[in-house]
Amino acid sequence: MIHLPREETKLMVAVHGWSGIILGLLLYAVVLTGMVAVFAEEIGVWSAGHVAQGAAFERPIDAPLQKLARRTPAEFHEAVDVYEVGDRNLGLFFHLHETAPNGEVIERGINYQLDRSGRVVGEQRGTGEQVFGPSNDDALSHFLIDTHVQLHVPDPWGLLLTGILGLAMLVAAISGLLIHRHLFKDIFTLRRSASAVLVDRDRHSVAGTWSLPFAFILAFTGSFFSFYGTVGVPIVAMAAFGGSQEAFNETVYGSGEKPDPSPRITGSLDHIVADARGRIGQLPTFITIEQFGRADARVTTFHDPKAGGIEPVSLIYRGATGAYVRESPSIGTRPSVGGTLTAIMGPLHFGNFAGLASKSVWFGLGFAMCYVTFTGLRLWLVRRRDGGSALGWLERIVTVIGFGLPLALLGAAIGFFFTMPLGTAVFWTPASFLIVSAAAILAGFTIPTNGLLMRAHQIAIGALLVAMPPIRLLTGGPGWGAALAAGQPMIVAIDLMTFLAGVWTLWRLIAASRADNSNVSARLKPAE
Amino acid sequence: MPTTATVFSLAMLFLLWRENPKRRRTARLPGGNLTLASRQLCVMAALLPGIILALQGNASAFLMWLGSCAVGGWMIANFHPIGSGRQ
Repeated sequence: MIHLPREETKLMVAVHGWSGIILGLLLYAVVLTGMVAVFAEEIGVWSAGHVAQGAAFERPIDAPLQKLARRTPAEFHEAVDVYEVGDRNLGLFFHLHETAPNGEVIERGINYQLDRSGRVVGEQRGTGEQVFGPSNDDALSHFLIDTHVQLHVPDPWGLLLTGILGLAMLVAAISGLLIHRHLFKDIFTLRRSASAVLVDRDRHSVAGTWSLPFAFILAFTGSFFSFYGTVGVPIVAMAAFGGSQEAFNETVYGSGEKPDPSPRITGSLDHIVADARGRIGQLPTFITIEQFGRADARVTTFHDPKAGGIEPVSLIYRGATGAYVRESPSIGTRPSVGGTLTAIMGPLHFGNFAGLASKSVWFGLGFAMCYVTFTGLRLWLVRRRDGGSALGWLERIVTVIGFGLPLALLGAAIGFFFTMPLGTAVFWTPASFLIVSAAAILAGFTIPTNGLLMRAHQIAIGALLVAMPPIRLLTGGPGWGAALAAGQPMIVAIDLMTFLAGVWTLWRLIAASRADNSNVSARLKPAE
Repeated sequence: MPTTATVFSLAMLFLLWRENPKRRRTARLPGGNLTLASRQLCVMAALLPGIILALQGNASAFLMWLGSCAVGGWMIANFHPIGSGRQ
């Protein structure tokens, strides 16, 4: 392993510890919500009780598109996003691009939502941010993603903050690698009855060693997403395009073809979807139409990676004729190393390249990283406690955040279940999170010892996890039979996972309590 | 393919966990049965499926194997058999 001189090792330990303790709690929040957000799509289906069958792109979409285009002002025909939303509904966002006062390019237009029979069930005017914001039935999954992406801090500061946290994670991973002299020798060593410092040190270093490669990957890709739009694009636009992000977008993502604004009916989208499915073997996940109704219209279909690959695929078609043009790289018009690297950032970060199997692995890695962050914070505190400098208040903060955050997320889910049928979930999901957070903080002030505080939080977590499936069913969610019949085993799987996780949490507490009691009796016997 | 590769590598990791000298020493267990050379062979065997997947250019399977081994290895390290020595 890497052997640093004594002074440098001490410096690295200080860098590792202080970077962790200063940003560790926020990093923990980002990692924990990221771990849950790996299953955001499935949580969306589970929480809203979506049981409709047949993807939106399996139905004819060209006729509703042409019909809605006729009633939409021509200014919004600059681009159309076509996507699946809610319970297999179809979303169509006719929009134009405009530059905001801060130089950022934003979308503005009219969004339609069509149910499975093709009826317009929703119409909304606004910016892309408003249109794709949380709605009543996806408030929970949206809340999870927003917490992970920017901790609910306004743009651009939230993204900058999570980007910095990603860099802090990289610093902690590199310094951890440098200070650990016996990385492989200690990879299986977990002392359970040693001093508190050794127990916590082993837990932290073993989990950290196993998840080290992924700490690099997830921290790097996460920082990339945070800094790409907030720092990267504005800087490149300023340096090479006179500050115009629109010019940047056209150069980097544009077709490079000569504009032809003459009017032309856009070719059949149904034919394009069928052709794309034949080429890739799967339906698109998203479609964009640029310059709708013009001779130079361009349709791009976006797909998940092909079997064995991790790079998402997108295909380009001529809008006017529906003719296939080529596969589209994520950057520029020709395949490049930069384009491939940019394209794989998403799958590497979200772990969605091989469906549920890869998502489950990424969830496990997220859990390991939560564990590393939390045990790292505890180790820092236990070392100082053993060294005589008591930081009881910080220990309590670590407990309140470490256990209070998952508790508050469960509270948000329960708030969602009760309020979704009333149509008020967009407000009550974050409100429930805040109410449960306030209760956890209050417990931090009132419960006399840190041990009791930890136990109280864990009991509450276990109880809410066990109660989650019954609450979902009682508030109108589909039963297991209906979910399985509709081809949604995920609803049953998440119910089982939450219930079993709750039972495991409570069982561990009971086992720990029994062990404590038997230790007390063992100590009392010789005294008697 | 990634499932077979992962199962094989995890079996090797389990063997390495069982025979790990430092773990055995801290658990106050008697010395293991495998020599250093045998354990090194196990390490190579554990890595072999990943190398094959990487050489095949199967990025998805390689990442699945790597991630599963990371999570599985951590779980194996946490394995605490009933009646194992005091640590």
